[in-house]
Amino acid sequence: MLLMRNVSKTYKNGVNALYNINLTIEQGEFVYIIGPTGSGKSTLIKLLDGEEIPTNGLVEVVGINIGKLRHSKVPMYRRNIGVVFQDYKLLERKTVFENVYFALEAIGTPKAKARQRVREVLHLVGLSDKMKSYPAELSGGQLQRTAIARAIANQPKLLICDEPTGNLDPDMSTGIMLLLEKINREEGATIVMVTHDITLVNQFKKRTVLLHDGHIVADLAEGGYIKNEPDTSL
Amino acid sequence: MNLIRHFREAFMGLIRHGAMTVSSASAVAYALLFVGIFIIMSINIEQITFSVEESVQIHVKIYDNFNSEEPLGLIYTQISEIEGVLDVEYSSKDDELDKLIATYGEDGKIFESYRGVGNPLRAAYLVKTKEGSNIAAISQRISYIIGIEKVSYGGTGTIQLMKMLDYIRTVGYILVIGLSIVAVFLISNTIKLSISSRIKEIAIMRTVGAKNGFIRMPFVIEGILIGLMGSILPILVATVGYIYLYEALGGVFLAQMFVLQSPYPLVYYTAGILAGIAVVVGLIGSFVSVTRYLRWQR
Repeated sequence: MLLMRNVSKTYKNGVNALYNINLTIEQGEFVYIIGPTGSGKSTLIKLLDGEEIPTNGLVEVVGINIGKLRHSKVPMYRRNIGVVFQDYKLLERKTVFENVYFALEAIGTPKAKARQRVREVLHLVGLSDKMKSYPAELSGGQLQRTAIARAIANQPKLLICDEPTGNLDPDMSTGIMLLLEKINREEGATIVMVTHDITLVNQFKKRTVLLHDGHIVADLAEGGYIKNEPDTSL
Repeated sequence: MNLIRHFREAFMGLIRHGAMTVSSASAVAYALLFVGIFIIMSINIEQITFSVEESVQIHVKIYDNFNSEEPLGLIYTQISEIEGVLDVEYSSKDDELDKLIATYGEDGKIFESYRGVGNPLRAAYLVKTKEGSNIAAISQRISYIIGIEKVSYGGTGTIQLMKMLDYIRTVGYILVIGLSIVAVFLISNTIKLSISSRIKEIAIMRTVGAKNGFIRMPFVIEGILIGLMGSILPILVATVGYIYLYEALGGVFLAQMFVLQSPYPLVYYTAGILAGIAVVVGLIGSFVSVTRYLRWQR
């Protein structure tokens, strides 16, 4: 469902972000992308959500070639993917319910269907009792659950999580991980999660891709702690 | 359903930037005020110019000994061949007397005694020209024709006035276009503010796959509403003002010969044109801003 072949990305200002990336992810997989700051994780995400196009090589998600994606077709492509951010990106003036509803409204989902789906996903993320709360009244974990609910409301085939636990304490992080595993299992969404949190990577063992200086330096199907610290091994 | 949402968002934008909304709406109002005045003025100038040009003619007096069929035919041909001559009409000695009597009204009756063989008035050709401006040159050329006693004309001053008003009208159009461009810029700036206050919403909409048209719609509506707000005052001034002016002047301007255009349906057209320009200016201003923003990134 996700294919990257010989992908390179050089920004207009001359910065090389990715070199010759080859990566295949199957439908239903849960994959960590880890690596130090500046290793190209953000660029990888931008290539996947259609924000950037590769300088060289092929990026294909759900059968769509991102490099050939016209500007006007980007919105339709994005309906196939959900994105969760470290800083949640919720609208303060809208309630939990409205924040999720907003995403469905924006893509023209009929009112009744949208309302039903919002209740469904809020139940799934465990926020049924917080529907009328505003973001200011929620904990970090609840905020991220809201953001996840919004990202999966449209039943995306691919869920991209950009440091979803970056602002959360270990307990909340564990809760979010359990939720993501549940979504992966119950909604059948493929999950690509970028993270710094080695503890989580060790605790919830998944396929792990290690990026360093724009190269994939390891791709461990069994996951777990990467013993060779990239900084010392390279 | 979506339209209600777009309108709600547009109204929220208007309220959020009340000061900017008012200032761009007033810029539109200024521009449209000029447009309104110039529409009404130019339609009236056109009508008056037409009727004045129509009424201006050259009066060509013919010696009595040339007032017979053959020399008259010769004079007629020569006048007709002059460039710029529209129409040549013969007025006999009796016709001229009738006109003289008519100009004096009741007192004119005393000229009745002239009628007959002793009529001292000359027969004449009445010459109309295609344009008022070349009337002097044409008169000059007619005066060289043999058998012509006197050439006279009037109304060139009026024509000069019309030309001047026409010139003012051109200057007015330039002003109107300039002011409209200023209005477009102000509206587009207001919309830019509106965009920046909703940048997070737009980012989220883009992330979840909202189409550009959906994102753009509230802003475009906001722009159109600003334009329409700006058109209210000019429409009132132009319509009520003109109806009042027309009544006050009794339908004529300065003199009886300058007949003003009736207010109906003129004021309706003017109101329609003003509202139309307001919508277009608002649409362009907002569209430019949003499209520029949405093109900025994928």
